[in-house]
Amino acid sequence: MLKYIIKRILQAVPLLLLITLICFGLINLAPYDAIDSITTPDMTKAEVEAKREAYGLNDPVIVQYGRWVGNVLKGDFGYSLLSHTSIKYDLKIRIPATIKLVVPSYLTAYLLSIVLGLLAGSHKNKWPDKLIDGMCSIGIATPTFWFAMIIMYFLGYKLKIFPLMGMHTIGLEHSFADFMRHFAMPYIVLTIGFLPDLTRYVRGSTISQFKEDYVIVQQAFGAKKAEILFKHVSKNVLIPLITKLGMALPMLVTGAVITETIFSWPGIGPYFVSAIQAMDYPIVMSVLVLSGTLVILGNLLSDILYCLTDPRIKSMK
Amino acid sequence: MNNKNVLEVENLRTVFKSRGQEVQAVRGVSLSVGAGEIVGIVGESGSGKSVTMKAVMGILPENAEVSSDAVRLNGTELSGLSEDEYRKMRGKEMTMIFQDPMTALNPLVKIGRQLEEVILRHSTCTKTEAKEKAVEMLKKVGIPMPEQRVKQYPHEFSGGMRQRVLIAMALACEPKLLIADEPTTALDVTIQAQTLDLLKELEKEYHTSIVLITHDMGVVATVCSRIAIMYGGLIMESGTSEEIFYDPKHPYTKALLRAIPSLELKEGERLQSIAGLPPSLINPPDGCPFAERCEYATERCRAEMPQYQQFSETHRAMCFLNTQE
Repeated sequence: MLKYIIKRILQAVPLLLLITLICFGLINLAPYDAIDSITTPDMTKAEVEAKREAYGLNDPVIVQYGRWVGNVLKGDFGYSLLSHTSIKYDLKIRIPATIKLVVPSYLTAYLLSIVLGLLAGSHKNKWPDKLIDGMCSIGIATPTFWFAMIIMYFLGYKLKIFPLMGMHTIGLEHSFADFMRHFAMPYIVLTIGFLPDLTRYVRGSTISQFKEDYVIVQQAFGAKKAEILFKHVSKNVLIPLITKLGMALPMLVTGAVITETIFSWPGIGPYFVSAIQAMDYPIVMSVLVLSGTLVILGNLLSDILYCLTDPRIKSMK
Repeated sequence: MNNKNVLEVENLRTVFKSRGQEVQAVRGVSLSVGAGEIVGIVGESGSGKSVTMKAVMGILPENAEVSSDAVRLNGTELSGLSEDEYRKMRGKEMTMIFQDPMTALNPLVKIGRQLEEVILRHSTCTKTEAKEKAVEMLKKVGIPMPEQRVKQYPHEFSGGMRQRVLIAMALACEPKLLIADEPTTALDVTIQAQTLDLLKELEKEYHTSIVLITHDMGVVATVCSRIAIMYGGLIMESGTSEEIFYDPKHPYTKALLRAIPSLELKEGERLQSIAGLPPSLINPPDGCPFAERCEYATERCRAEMPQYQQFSETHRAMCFLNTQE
């Protein structure tokens, strides 16, 4: 088992390098000059050239890439071109804010989807299934930003239950109640956003598990439908679902970009979006590399979780 | 029919409804199984043999409509039972094992747990007793080192061993009736023989009546005392093994017997097969379903459904041939 994990981590290294290469390559191919975000139009040519030299933008691309990867490996993501703040420091503040929003929403959606998916899947084509599946269709078709606006309009503006934006009221940074009031609306929007897809997944695998032979065998041995569902089908449904948990790892960084931006939640979302708008490429690259890395780690985590939970794979080693 | 019969089925019909079409899978089957008897149901794919027995078990999918004049298990009429009463009969009074032992067990639950679950469901014993019983049952069906094996998962068992586990599960509650739906089809030939021997032994020990569904005449010849030949959702001929093998009356039975591979076949000689395909059960023919493939068929066979001809107390066939005129 340990050997397998080490092997998988070693396999991930070239993949990670490839990700940095792609990020760097794409940013360099983008149709703008990085110098434009540092200079102003009234600077002289000489000044611009001096800046270019100072930022190392005259070096060959491969040297720039090497320098950047070297720095990233040391944990140094560089500085924002606009605000000149350390990206590492920014991320340290913003990632926890995103996590505080994404983790509760994803877990709520995850647990709810298990309940709803099993319920729908075990009542295929009956009214609970039609209701849940119908809601999922609507949910998948609803754009997050639109739903966020609707929630904002009614709960925030009309009824004035929750504050419209931000994470804290100024001066109340340590008040949990104040945090919860700010947290409620983006939490609802995100949960509803995650839910339909997960529910569909659980429903689908429940339906396919009910077609398995062991279900009819259990019927022949006199098992109640509930027994078949909870003792047999649910186990076979939940193991593949565990892999979804690993795959969700990159969401810790980029799981709520739109929602965060709409609610001005001080997480990665607004930071990333404004960096793109301002062509602040060190930030864009940092976030891309970070989320790419988490995708790979998430896959690894899924595989490890699968190994730990499925006896068939466990014994294969 | 006498009262000692464990299972009595009279005029059982099953219709599957899907997408506006009706498939008449079983079209009036009557069958009885005596105590401690092994009855074979033989027929090709789609002849309705599995559906008949699944209808008796009450485990057909929801789009199946079952009707019958009577389905009695030990004298209890099954068709009027509530879903819950019916469920309680399954596993305890009657049970069924299936063709593919590789997929019949839940891959994520230990063998011991799966056995205990069935035992606990139908008896009032404690968990420890159920555990002991599970080990004992595995020993009975010839699984070596049962104490260790109960802690293993299905994928750690071979196909033959899994079928043994299922037989152990089936017999744990000592049912009156065991329905074995092609239990050896997915197994190697040597394992097939072992599994059949095991079924025979268990029948003697537990006095469980067995219905053996198969398409293999060789299998029924080794174990069954009585045989029913099914075709097109109907029983074409039924009788004791001797009657069926030595004095077949129905052309279909005769054709099946000719199609058995034999060691006496000369080199280069081909097996005889039955030409043509079974009839569609969506629009079954008015007459005998076998008429289209039968070498003796007359106009009458195609137009009119033949009645059963009784040849002895146990032997009857559904054919116009052999009619005393």
